[in-house]
Formats: sequence, C-alpha cells, structure tokens
Amino acid sequence: MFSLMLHKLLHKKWMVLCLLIGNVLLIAVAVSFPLYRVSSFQKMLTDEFAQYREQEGRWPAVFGVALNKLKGSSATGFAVMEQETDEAVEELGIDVLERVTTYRLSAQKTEATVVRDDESIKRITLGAISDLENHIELLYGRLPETERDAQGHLEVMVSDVAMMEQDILIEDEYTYQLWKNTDGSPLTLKVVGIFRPLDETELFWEPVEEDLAKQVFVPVKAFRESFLGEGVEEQFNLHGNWSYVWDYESIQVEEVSRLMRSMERLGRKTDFKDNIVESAYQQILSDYSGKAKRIEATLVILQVPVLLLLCAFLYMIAGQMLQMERNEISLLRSRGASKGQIFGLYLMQSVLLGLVSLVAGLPLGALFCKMLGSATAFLEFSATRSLAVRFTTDVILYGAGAVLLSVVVTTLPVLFYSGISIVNLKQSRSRQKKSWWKKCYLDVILLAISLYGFYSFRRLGERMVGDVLSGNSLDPLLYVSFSLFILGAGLFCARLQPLVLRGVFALGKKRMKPSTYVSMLGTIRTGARQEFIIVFLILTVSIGISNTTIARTIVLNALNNTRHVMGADITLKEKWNNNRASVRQNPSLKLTYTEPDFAKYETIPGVVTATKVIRDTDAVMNEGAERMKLTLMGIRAKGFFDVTKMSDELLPYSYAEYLNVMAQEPEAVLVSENFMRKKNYHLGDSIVFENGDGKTTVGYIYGFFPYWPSYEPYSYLIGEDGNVETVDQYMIVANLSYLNEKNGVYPYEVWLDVEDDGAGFYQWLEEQEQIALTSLEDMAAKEERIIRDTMFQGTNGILSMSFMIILLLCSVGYLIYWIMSIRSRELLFGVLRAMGMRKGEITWLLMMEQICSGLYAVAAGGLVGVLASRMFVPMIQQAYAASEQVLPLQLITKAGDMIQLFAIIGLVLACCLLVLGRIVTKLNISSALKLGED
Amino acid sequence: MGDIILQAIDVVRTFPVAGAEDFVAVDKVSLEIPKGCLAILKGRSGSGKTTLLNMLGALDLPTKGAVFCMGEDITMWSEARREKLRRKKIGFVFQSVSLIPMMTAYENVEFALRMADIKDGRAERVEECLKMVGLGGRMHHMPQEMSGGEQQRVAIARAVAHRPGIIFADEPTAELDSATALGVMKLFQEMVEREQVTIVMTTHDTSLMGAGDIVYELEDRKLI
Repeated sequence: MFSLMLHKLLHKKWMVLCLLIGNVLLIAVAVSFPLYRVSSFQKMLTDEFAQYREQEGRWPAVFGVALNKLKGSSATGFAVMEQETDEAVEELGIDVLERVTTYRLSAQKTEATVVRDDESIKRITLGAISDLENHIELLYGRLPETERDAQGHLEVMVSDVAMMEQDILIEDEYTYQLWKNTDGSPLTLKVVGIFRPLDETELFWEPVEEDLAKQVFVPVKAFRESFLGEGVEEQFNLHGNWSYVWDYESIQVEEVSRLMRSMERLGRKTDFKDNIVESAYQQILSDYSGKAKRIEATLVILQVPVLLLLCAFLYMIAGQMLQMERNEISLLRSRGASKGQIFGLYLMQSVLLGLVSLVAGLPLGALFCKMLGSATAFLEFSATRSLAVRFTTDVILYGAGAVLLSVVVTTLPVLFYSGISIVNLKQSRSRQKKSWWKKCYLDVILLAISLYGFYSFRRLGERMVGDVLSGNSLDPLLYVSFSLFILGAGLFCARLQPLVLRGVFALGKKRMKPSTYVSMLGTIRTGARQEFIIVFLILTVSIGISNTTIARTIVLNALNNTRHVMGADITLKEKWNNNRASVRQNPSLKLTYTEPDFAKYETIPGVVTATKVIRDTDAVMNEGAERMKLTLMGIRAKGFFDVTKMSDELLPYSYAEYLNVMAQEPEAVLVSENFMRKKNYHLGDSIVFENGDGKTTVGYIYGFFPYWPSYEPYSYLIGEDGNVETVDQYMIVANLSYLNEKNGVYPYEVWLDVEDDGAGFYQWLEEQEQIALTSLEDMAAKEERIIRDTMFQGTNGILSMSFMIILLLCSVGYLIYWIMSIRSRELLFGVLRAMGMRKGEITWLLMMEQICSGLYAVAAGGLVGVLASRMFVPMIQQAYAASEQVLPLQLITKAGDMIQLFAIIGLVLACCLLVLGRIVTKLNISSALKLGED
Repeated sequence: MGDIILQAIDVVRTFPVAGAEDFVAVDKVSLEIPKGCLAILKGRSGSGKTTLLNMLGALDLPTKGAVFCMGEDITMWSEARREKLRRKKIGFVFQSVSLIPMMTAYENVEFALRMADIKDGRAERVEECLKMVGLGGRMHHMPQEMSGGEQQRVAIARAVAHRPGIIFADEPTAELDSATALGVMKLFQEMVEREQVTIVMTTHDTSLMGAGDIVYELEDRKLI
C-alpha cells in the first residue's frame, strides 16, 4: 500500500509539488502567528517598561511588601512576614536582581545633647537598610558598630544630604523623648559617620532612595537586636519593608497572565492584603494585557481570509489530483478494494505530505515572523528591525493544528470519489454540471449578509468608537462582513462572466475570426471548469487592492493626524519663572512672567523656522454671566504659517488667507466653527475672553475654521453605561503680540520647523546646560512610534504576507489550470491545425481565452477591490484610530502600490502565456492526432 | 476517369529514434489518384498508411520525394501556404472524436466554412451538408449527445462543407459497427458523385474494398 502511494506521488510530481507548496504555506502562516505574537508582544512589553523607566527615571519593577506595626499591636511579626514574603517571591517566579530589607522606627522627637542654632528638639527617624555598608563611601568618620558603645549609645550614620537638610553632624548625640530601651533606659543615638552612595545608579537605591535624606541609619543587626523579636516589637511603632527589584526584561510574555494571577491571589491573602507596595509594573502589566488582547484579536481576524484561501487551494488541488486519479480509483474499486482502503490510502498520503511540509513550514514560519516584524508599510520591509524568534509550545500546537487541518482538507474530497466505480464514472463524465454555489445562490447570499453587516455597522457609527475606546478589538463581524463582501462579489462576478461573454459573442460572432470564435465559444460552453481559477484571480486582485488600501489608510491617516494634532515638527515649552509666590503673599502685586530667551532658537543649525505659540487651555469665553471653557491660541501669523502645514481643502478659504487677515488686523480673532454654531457668532462680532490667569481681552471675529493645526474639535467621554458622548472643544486664535500688549507676556510654546528630523536641534539641546524644558514633543519620534506600533506593524505585516501568499497561490493555480487545460485539449488543437489553422492563430486563441477569463477576472477584481475599500475601510480604520482621528478620513491608495500590484499580476499572466506558448509551439499535429487513435 | 489530382513520387518518411537508426515509416511510395474518385489505401495497422495519408494531406512533409496536389509540388511550399491549402481545398475526417466538443453539429460544420473564409450562404450550406449526411433533424445537438456513427457523419459533413477538392479520411469506419461503416462508405460514394469531390481514405477492413474506385495496398511500408 505504502509503495503504491509513493509510486502514485512520484507519478504526479507537479500536483504533489502544489500540494506541498500549499501545505508549507498553511503551516508557515499558522506558526508565524504565535511566533510573531510572542516576539512582538515581548518587544512591546519590554518597550513599555523601558519607556516608563525613561520617562520617570525609576525602575518599574519592584515588588515590595510593607509592614506597619504600631505599639501594642498583635499583628503578624516581622520575622514571620519576612519569611512569607520570601516564599511569595519564590511563588511569583520573578528574577530578583536586588533584595533590600529596610526597618524603621517611627519618627519621634529627640533632644540633642549639643544644642546648635537654638534648635534642641529634632524629629529623627531611625532606620536600617540591609547591606547598606557595601553600597556607600564614607565621607567623614567611620561605620557604626553593631554593638552599643560604652555609654549605651546606638551608633548611627547619615547621608551627606541628610547632614545638610536635617543639620545633623558627626559626633552629635540624640536622646529619644518617647522611645526607651527595653530595659527602660533612655534610647540614645550617636552619629559616627557621614556617607554618600557609591553609585547612585545602582538598583540597590531604587527602593530606598527617598529614605536617604530623612533617616539616620544603624546596622541591621543592631536594629534587630534592639527593636525586633517577640515581646520587643510590641513596644515600638515599627515599619518594615521588603523590596525585590526584579528584572523586567527577563519576564516572558507567556508568563504575564500567570504572574498577574499570582499577584492577585497574593493580594487576597490576609497578611498581604494591604501590605503590597504599589509599583509601576502592576499598571504596566495590566495595560499590556489589555492592549495585547486587542491586538491579538485583530491580528487573528486579519489572518482568517488567507487561511481560508489556503484551505480552498489545497482542496482544489487535492480534488484535481483525484480527478486525474478517478480511473485508478474506479479500477481499484472494481477490483474489490473497499471504500475504507481507498480512504486509508489517501489519508496516509495526506499525513505524509503534512509531516513533510511541517519540516519546511516551521523555518518558513520563522521567516514570515521576521518579515512581519520588519514591516513598515504595505509590501515594505525594513531589514534593520528584526524580532527575536522564539519557539514556544504554542508554535508546536499551531503547527500540529495546521497539519491536521491540511489532512482534513486534502482527504475530504476522497469521500466523494472513493465510492465511484468504473460504471458511474463513465456516466458522470459526459455530464456538464452547474456549480453547487451557483445552484444555491451562495454569491447572492454572501453579498446579502455582508451588506446587512455593512449597513448595521454604519448605523452603529459612534458606538464602534466607544468599543474601541473601551479597549475592545476590531469587531470580528465587521471584518467578516468585509471578507464576505469580497467573496460574495467575487463569486457574483464569476457568475456574470459567462453572461458577459455571451453578450459579446452574440454581437460579434458573425464577423469573428475562427480562432476568436473557438476560444470564446469554448470559454462560454466550458465555463464551469474555469470558475475556480476566475474566482481565485478576482479574490487576489480585490484582496490586494483592499489590503493595500487598509494598510496605507490606517498608517497614513494616523501619521497625518498626529502631524495635525502636534502642529509642528517639534514643539517645546521652557520652564518659565514667575512671581506667583510673591503675589500670593501680596495680592496687590501684578503677576508677571520672566520670558526665557527666544532668539537662540532661531540660530540653531537645522532649524528652519521657530515661532512662539501660546496654547492656553484654561482660557474662558466671558460674556456677562456666561462662561465657557476654551483653548486660546496666540500666534505670530508669519512664523505660524511657516512652521505649520494645513491643507487648503480642509478650510473654506485658503490657509494663507486666514493668516494674512491675522497679520493685518491686530485685534482679529479666528473662532472654531463649532463655537460659532454654539454661540451663533457672525463675522465682525466682538468676543470677550479671559486667559488662564483671568486677564480679559476683547477681540473681533474675522473668520471661522473647521480645522486648525493642533486643534481637536471634540473629545470623547465614555459614560458608565458604555455610551460614548462627544464633547465639543472650542478654540479661538488671536495675535500673540496683541495678547501680550493687553495682558503682558504669557508663557508660550516654541514651535520649530526642522530639517533631518531635528538632528541639529537635538545636538544643540545636548550642549545646553541652562535650559529647562517642561515639555518636548517630536513629530519624527511620534511617527516612528506609530510605524513601530505592534498593532500597525502587525496589520501591515499580515496584510502584506496574506497578499503575497494569495498572489503565489493564484500564480501556481493559474499556471496549473492552464497547463492541464491545454494538455487535455491537445487533440482539439490537432484537429484545428489539420483544418488549416496556423500556429499563430492557436496562440491567439489561447490569448483570447486568457483575456476572457484572466483579464475579465483582473478587471472584476479591481472593481470589487475598490468597492470593498470604499465601503469598509473607513469602518475598519476606526478600529485603529477612532478617538484620535481629527481630520476627515482619507482613503489612501498609492498609485505605486497599484502599479506594483498589477505589474506582479501582469507578470504572472505573462509567465503563464510564455509557458503555454512553449507547449503550443511544441505541439505536433500528427502526434496530437494520434492521441485520438489509441 | 479524369485528370490526376494527387500524385506521390518516391515518397519516403523516416522518424528519428533516439540511439538507433531512423525508423522508416513509408518507403519509396509512388501513386496517382485521379480527380473525382474514391481511393482506398488499404493495409494492416503499422503499415504506414496514416503516415502516407498525412503527407498527401499536407499535414506532414516527406523526408524524401515529392507530393503533387492539383499539379503543384506541395512539399516545396511554405507552412503557411500548406495551411491555406488545408483550409480551402482539403477536408479531413479522422478515426474518432475529431469534432470540436463544445460545438453543436451545426457549429462544427459551420466552422469549416469559417476556416475557409466563406461568408455567403453559410447557413444554407451547413443545412444542406447535414441533410446530406442524414442529420437534418439533429443539427443542434452536441457531439457527446450523438452516437459514434452520427458523430462521424457530422465530421464528414464538416469535411465536405467548404467544397474542398479532396477529402482525406483516416480510418473513418474503425470505431463503427459494420452496418454503420457501410452506411459511411455509401455516403462517400454519393458525395463523390454529387459534389465532384475526390476522397482518399485508409482502412484495414477488407470488407469495404468493394466500395472504392481505386484500391492501393500498403504492406511493410511499401505499396504493392
């Protein structure tokens, strides 16, 4: 049986190759998903941690347990707690880099033995930090002894900062007023050393940084002996803290959910209930999980169509192979082989092919994963960014699943054939069947479902924005509707094809050349055989078009939008000094700001233009009793025009016109359209507004704008019931010089137009020591983050990968179909040649067939793709950028993409034609005719 | 009998065989066929009769020798000119399925007219030919809906439709039962009479010899 199968496979090596290609791709796509998920999510997680660390300057991963024990309390003891904490850490399985234990005796008043500056009473906190002596250098004195000195003093040391801030010097002695030693004698301290951290960047300092300036330190051993232990602890107000600085880079994404569950379980234990110290990692992990879930769901949905197409391809090839083997099957059947035996034969074949493909599929999957990770746009990959590929158990599971799927799909057609005997084979051959999907109007049904989906999603509108805002993923049904639409419309076009051809044929058949006549008549009469390939081709083109549109649209809209909301290449705000403190004490003073030097920005190399922009979000419109919050923008028209970019299409008049008016009229203000509608303003109306400091100005309205750089017309509010409310945001734009003239100088932002992504600016910034920035935003960095974003990158990657796979399938399928179709018609060509048809005419005949099916399919696919993009992409895009989208959505299809798409398809068709041409020229009439004489 | 319409002079056809001497399919055959007769090339299978027929019908070129068709040596012609000859002046009938499967009987016959670039009176001629072969009532049937004999009769109608000078028929009766085969032979005789056409056919069936005006017998690649 096995050798029979091998023989059979060798005999049909081309079909087997196709099956292998399909299988390998299926497995590769299936395993690339868990591979990509793990590595990209890992990167995302590490990035989030790193980002926190960069922004906050703190280590984000510290697990800490704190115990507060008041005098007389019978709460869990320190020793027990310490042990439990160690066990808990063990259970969490985190990779501990640094373990720091601190103890503290609550601050209490002490009397100094030597009084300086009339201050005899000092509140002192006595603390102890494990292993402190190994992380410091002594500036003065010596390390404290663990034993008390001869007078019974506890020896302590302080940091240099504490020395300055608390005015504690070496040799100082302090006696606690309240705390006594266990024997009732006074508790006295003596300062013997001043230290400073050896290396402040050490992780050791993370949990104790704040303690350094506030405490005096005894060795841990001395602290334990004096204050801890049963019967002793109860006499003091004590505080203990066990901190574990752990390595966030070592945490694997697969462990996140387990870690979070363990944390939660731990938090419910009585001893830990209120004692776990808040740390950034909790928020980071939970943010990450939410985001990961959303991205995962989206990526899964995006992958479904290509997986389905792969299955369809395998099914087609397996069916085709069976078709070729029908003779053999019926022969076997007639000779007494049971259905089961035949089924077993094919099952064995599928399993063998599946396993062989697995070997090739895994490395290809890894390659796909790398490709996904380096995607920057549709069909664009940058080699510099690659992901670390890691094989997890998930990968094996997905791989096995894919093999199983392929086995099922490729053995399924056998069920239809294994029952055939030679008798009903002959009968069925003479019949031309109508496709099953045509009979049950599958195309119409699919179209109806998808249109229903389309209209109900369109009605939902805002609701979808709400879903996205509350962290839900792209609604699977939306993408399903989109896919169904493409499939339905594709099938529908395939149904129309014979009708269209019939029309053309009926019109022109009188005058047609014989070759054209034969090809068209043939295509019409034997159409059902081509359906599959036509549907495949339509799907390839339409999915190609909509995939590029989705990919381009989501990324470019996100970029445009970010650019719009940011306003300029770089915006920054320096720290402004003011006299607010003095004003508070003396309300008769006027609030004034000290303006930092602005001229320096204009001379930075690489900065094209710099301009001042006031963006006052605390401003209000003030009309008698009515006050409305708004954003007040103060600009210098010329500079603003040079720094910002604004498409004239978004405004009723040209952008330059708006700014010209501003430049000419000092008192002019521009008002956002929603504010105009709200207040029913007209041109020329006066408007009274207050800035953030409550200073009033009057301006005259010279124009209204729907969009303005950095202006977001509305924000979203999610109610508790999940309903989304849009809240209008108002803005007015005035002249900065006019505002300054009326109210005095007011803190402004500096907006820069830069070259080379601001390289020059950053170099300059590095050299500045005096400059203190309160904010710095950078367009280039934001763009980079959008492109790198796992959601965008994954989407781009998967859409590109899907498209390439579909294209490959389509080419292979197309070529196979035509080669087989020509092979089966060699006799016909022989007859035609005998009747005097030239070779050129036969080639033309084949070209006509390609035009009738291929060109038709490409055209129909183009139509379906454009239609599907128009209809569904705006909704799909919402899932990516719902809340952030300020500008009207632009559907983006780059001509380059289309040219690329059609060039590739054209190339495939040309290759097919070339191969077919070769077959035709090799065709020998007499030997072709002999075929019929066997 | 009238003029000689077809003449072969010392025709040799060899086929290259990998790693061996060339295979000789037809060896120095000469024959003459007068216009308006039914000529039969008789011989066992493998005797070279199909190869000879292909050369006479301008489908194949002899390795040596010449074939004169209507007075001209067609072996000197270009491929295109021979194709034109086949389209306009020659009709073919083959052993089995030589009909174009996706065309009805009517369309098959009409196609020969299209190939010969005949535009006027097509419908009448097609109907006439199909009626002549006795299939006036089945004009719009597909080949697979017809019996073998019916199919062959459509093929004959197609071969004669564009009024060729010669019809070549390669084993036209091989797949038919003897009664049907006789019917086909009768049809050939009628057509020679009615259409003034010359028919050259091959057969291995000795029972049909009587129907021919001239019978050539091939044995061992030679005419005897």
